[in-house]
Amino acid sequence: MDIGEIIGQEYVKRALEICAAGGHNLIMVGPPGSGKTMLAKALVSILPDLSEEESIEVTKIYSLVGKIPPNCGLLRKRPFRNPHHTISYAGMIGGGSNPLPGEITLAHRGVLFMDEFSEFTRPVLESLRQPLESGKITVSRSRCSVDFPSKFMLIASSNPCPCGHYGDPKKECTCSENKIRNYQAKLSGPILDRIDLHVNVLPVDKNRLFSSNRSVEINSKYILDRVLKAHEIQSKRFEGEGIFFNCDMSNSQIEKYCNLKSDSKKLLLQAVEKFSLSTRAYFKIMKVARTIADINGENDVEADHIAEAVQYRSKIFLQ
Amino acid sequence: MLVKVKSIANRGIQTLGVDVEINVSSGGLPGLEIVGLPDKSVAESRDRVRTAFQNCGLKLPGRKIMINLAPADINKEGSFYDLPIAAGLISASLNISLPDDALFFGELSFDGSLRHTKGSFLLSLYAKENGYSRVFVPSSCAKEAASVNGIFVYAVENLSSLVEHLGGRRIISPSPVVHLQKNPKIFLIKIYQEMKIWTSEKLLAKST
Repeated sequence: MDIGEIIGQEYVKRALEICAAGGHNLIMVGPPGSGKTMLAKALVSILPDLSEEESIEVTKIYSLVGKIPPNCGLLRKRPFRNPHHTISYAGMIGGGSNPLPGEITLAHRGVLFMDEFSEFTRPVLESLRQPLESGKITVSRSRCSVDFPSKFMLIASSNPCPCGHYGDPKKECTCSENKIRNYQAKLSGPILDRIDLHVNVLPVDKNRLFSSNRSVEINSKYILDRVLKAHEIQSKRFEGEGIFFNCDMSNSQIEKYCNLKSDSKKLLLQAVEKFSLSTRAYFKIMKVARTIADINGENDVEADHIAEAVQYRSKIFLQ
Repeated sequence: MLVKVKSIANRGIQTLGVDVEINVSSGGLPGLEIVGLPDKSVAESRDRVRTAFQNCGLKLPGRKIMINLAPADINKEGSFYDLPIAAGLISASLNISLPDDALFFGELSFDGSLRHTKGSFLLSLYAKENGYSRVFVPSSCAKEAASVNGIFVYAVENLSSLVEHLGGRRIISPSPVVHLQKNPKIFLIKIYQEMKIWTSEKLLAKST
């Protein structure tokens, strides 16, 4: 599906572009029918193909589980995994007495789309912590313990409350405060903290559905070109560092590659204080700002890149 | 008579080498037995191989045949041990030697044809990292296996074509090598010369 087919939601499309360019994780929160699932599926169309190194890693995993169709060579397309929310713990992270990879490993170097994020069971959600941080998962059984790679891009979508309309400007939420709190408590702080971009998806303005004035220029090809350019910049930057994307940077690499000027530094510190963000969130903002600068083709991370990156942390229906 | 065939075992995404040892004893009651921690899918290989042999008009030695999957302390899983076992049995019963730089891999069907088997890419990667230059895989897996540079992939259609190839009657030509990094010409010439020598030896042995 082409991203240009989706009406409105320019803000979310921009967030998806940043994800595709820098490998960042994203959570979309919004009322039902606002286009969260469609947007996530359109992400595939703005993702560049796998590089040769990545392709070997992915083909290895798919060969192991027998998911390569007959008469097919190296896999070139990035995987897109969309597990249902009733998935078991072992199905997600891998398991068995001779362990086999789970969904997070099958999504290696690709996208793990978790629709209805808050409906997943608690152990499944919490099991994502280690792979989100380290890019691999260790499955230990009594007989053996194996490491599976799991460097994936997490795209999550959720409603803000059981009825789905909490924070909707047009429709009133019918849930009690208690219900909302319980619903949102499923998404624990540590998990949300590990997700780089948080965006609200608002319902599309009904008038725009019929207007012929759609944004034709923002189609998948246009965004893909910019993503490709950003990838090129990153592969040049990280040559010999053993990583591919901005999201993989360690803290020392962030220091090295995100040289902030004094005004951007000031802005970032203000934001961290105002929204009481964690240290992890502080570094995540720097990485996202780096990606935004790469999309714009700029060498230094300027104040407006920081400002845009901060936006993706500060506003969400979740309390 | 003892024959050794090379194959692999998977543990997570790591690949280990496995020796499939086939011993045809000089006496004993006719039978075929597999040891070396096979799981159900490997143990059933016995029946697949035996039936495929029958349906291809090949005869198993009418003596006690023992098959060992070494190292014996690792669990063996998967249906791909059919081809190494079959190749070893062909070698033992028809007295044909096998190339020693080759890995065998694939699931047999009752009619002797080879089915699509998962994991052939891992096989080729293992072959490359450990200095094996040829792999024998089912023909539907050939493209997957051939996506590793510098490995000669022999696409085996069925058991009879393997017998003809090993016997030197009709050679299966290996899948084109994708691209080689170092001095591709010399490497290619070397392999083809080896192949030629090996084939002519076969033909010579047959004619005498």
